[in-house]
Amino acid sequence: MMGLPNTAVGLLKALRRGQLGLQEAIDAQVVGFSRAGRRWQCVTRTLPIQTPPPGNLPLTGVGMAHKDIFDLPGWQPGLGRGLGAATDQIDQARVLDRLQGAGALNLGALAMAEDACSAVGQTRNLPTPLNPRDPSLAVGGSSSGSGVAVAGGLAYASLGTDTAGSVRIPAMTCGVIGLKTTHDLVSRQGVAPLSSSLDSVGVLARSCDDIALMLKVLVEAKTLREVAGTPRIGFWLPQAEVDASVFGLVGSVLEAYGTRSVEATLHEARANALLQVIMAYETGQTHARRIADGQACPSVRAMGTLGLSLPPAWYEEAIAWRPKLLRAFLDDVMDGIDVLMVPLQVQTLPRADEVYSGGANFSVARLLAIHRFCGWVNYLGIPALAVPIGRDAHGQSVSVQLLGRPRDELTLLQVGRQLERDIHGDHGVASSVFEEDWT
Amino acid sequence: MGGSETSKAGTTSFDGECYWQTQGKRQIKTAGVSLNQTEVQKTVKSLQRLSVTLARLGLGAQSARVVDTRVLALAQQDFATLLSSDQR
Repeated sequence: MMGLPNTAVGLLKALRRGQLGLQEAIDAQVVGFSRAGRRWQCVTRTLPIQTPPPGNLPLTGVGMAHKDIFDLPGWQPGLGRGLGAATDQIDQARVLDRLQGAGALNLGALAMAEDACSAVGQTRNLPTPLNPRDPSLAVGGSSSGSGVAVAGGLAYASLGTDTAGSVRIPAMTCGVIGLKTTHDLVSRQGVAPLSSSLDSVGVLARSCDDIALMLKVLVEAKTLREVAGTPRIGFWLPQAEVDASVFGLVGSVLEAYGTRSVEATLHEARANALLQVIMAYETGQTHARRIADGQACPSVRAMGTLGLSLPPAWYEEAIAWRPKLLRAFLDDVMDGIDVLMVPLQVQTLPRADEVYSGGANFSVARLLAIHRFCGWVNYLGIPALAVPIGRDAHGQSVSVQLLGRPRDELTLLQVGRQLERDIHGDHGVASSVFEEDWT
Repeated sequence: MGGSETSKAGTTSFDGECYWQTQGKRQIKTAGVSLNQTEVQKTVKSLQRLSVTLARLGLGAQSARVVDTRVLALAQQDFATLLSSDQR
C-alpha cells in the first residue's frame, strides 16, 4: 500500500479530492495486502475484490481484513486451527455485512490464536505471524493477525474479538490502537464464541478517528453515548505491579493526562477472579466435545478441563455478581470521572522466545504479564481502548488502556485521539509501509 | 500420606498433590477423555487456587468444601460424567 495515506480518514479525503482514483486505491491495497501478508505470515485466506463499491459510502475503498473467526459467505472460518472450509452455510457475519454495506473492502482473513484462547499468536498448524515492529518480538493474541496486519500496513483496520484482552494485547505488542467494545454492543452473530458472556468484537487501527469511523458503521449511532463536554480523566496506577522498565513512561503519561488518582485494587481483583470462573466454565461448555475427542488445542484443553470440573454453582454466582460489581465500580471508582487510565503493559514487550511454548527463554511470568490487567475489564463488560504512548528504554512500544462506562466508546476515542496526536502526530500511528504525507 | 485417606472421606483437608503421589504415576483413562497425572494435578491446583482466591475476596463462602467434591470427581469418577448434562 505504498503511496497511500496512512489512515482511512486520509484515504477517504484523498479520494474525495480526486488525488487518488478509486480503482487505483483498490489495486494498490490488493497488491500491498498480498505482498505484506507473505512477509508477515498473517493471512490465512485472500478474498477476491469483485465490484468496486459505490463512491459515496462512509467507507468506500477502505481496505480491511479480519480475524479468521467471522463467518464468510459459503466459508467456515479457520479459527486458527487451519485454513477454514467451504460450507453450505451462506450467511456472513452481521458485522461484515455492515462494513460491506458501507463500502469497505474485505481483503482477507487473518491469523489468530487457535480458538481465540491464547494471549500469544503462536499456532500449531499454521505459520505464526511475525511482528512488523521487530520480528524477534512476540505477537500477542488472540487477534494476532489483526495486530500484524494493521502494524504491517496490510489493511487500514481489522476486526478482532476480545474475551480477556485479545484485541488489546495484539494492539499492544504491535504498537497500534485497539478498541474492545462494551459487551453486547456489537453483534456477534456469525462470530465463533469462546466465552459468550465475555466475548466482544473490537477494532484495531492506526488512528482513533479510523476506529470511530468503523464503530459508527458497526452499531446504530443511538446505541452509543454522546460525548458530554470535556472528559474528566482519572487514573489508577498500581505501582507494585508495573515493572521499572515501563513504569517511568506509564506513570508520567497517566499523571500528565489524569487529573485524579483513584483506587481500584479490590475491584480489579474481584472481577479478575470471577472472570476466570466464567471464562473457564464457558470455554469448557463451548469446546466440551473437542476436549473429549482429544482435538482441542492445549490452551482450550487446559482451560476447558478446569471449566468442566468447576462446580456449576460457582459459575452461577459469578454471573450473579456481575451487575453488582459493575455498579460498585461505577459508583466507587468512576464517580466524577469519564475516562479511567490504567496500565495495560506492565513490562517491556516480550520476545517470542520468552512467551511462545517451547521457546529457549520461556517464562511463565513474562507470559502472565502480557495480560495482567486485561480480564477484569471483560468481566465488568465495559469498553477499553489500548493506545501506544511511546517507547521504553529498550526502544519498544509501551501502551496504556483507557476505560469508560458502558457504551462510552466515543469518549474513550476522544481522549485517545488527544494522546495519539500529542505522541504520534496528526497522521496516526505509523505502520511499517506508509510514509507519504498526504496533508 | 494421610491426605489420601482424608480426601476419600470427602473432608475439606484434601490435598490433591499428595493424593496423586500416593497413587503413583498413572494415567486416568475414561470412556471419552484421557487426563494424565500432570493434567489432573494442574486442574486440581487451579481449582484450589481459585477456591482460595474467591474465598479471600468474599466471593465464595462454600468454595473450599465444594472443591473437594469436584476434585474427587476428577480423580475417581469417569471424566465423561463431568461432561454429562446431569452434572451441569
